[in-house]
Amino acid sequence: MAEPDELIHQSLRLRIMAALHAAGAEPLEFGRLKALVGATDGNLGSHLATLEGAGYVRIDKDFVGKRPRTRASVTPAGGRAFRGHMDYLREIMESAGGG
Amino acid sequence: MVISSTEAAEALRDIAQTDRRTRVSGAYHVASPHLILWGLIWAAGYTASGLTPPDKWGLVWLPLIAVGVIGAVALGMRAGARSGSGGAGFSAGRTTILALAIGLFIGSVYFVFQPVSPLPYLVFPALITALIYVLLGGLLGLPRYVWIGAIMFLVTMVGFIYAKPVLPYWIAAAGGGGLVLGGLWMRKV
Repeated sequence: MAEPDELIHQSLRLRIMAALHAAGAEPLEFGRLKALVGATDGNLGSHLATLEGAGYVRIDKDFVGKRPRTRASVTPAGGRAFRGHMDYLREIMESAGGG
Repeated sequence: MVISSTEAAEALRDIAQTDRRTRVSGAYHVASPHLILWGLIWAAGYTASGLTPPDKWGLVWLPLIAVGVIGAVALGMRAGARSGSGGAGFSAGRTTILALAIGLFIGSVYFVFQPVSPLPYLVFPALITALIYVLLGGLLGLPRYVWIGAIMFLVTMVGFIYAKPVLPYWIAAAGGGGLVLGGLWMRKV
């Protein structure tokens, strides 16, 4: 039986993890991630900080020319936690007869 | 933590939608510089075709197509290195084979139908390109490809019907400009 992950289950964090997981090894720029998950600057920054604190997400900051760039990618631990949480959700659906 | 089956279904739906949106966005981001590159080549080639006699068009297009293939391979290698997929060799081989296949097909159609006017030589590659975009968009589930192909088809036919005296410049501006704009549009998430 897979275990739920309370940190990931929050709606916006779930979408952030889904987007970063789908992007694979390629980090997503902050602006693009914001549009993909339908977040505002403030709440995306705060949820990314939470996920980074848990070791699920890696944040890289650099400059392209003079423009600052923030990129996020999923860590191996984050990938495992996300897949484990998805397994848990699928098990709930299967036990409810909906899977 | 207790999650009901309704919440689980909603979460899985949310994940599937975000996953799909991210993959489509990734495909558009990879395609964007290719469209801009081919749009510029397209504009240069058709403008040069308007300025040179039809028997010299081969000399105009061959070097431009070579530049396009080399550029496409370089862009493929850059995208492969960035994503860590290591797919550079595959991109190079695939781009060359695709360019050769399309060139061979277009050349064979000219050989079979032997157009007597130079206009079909201008219009046919544009229509084939539009068809390729529509087919790719339909098969891969990328609606922006379908839009770009459909608009290219329409502007090419409008030019063929209403703008014959300036057809090369029309296709240079509408087709080349359309591809460049399409490439910029694909950068928007």
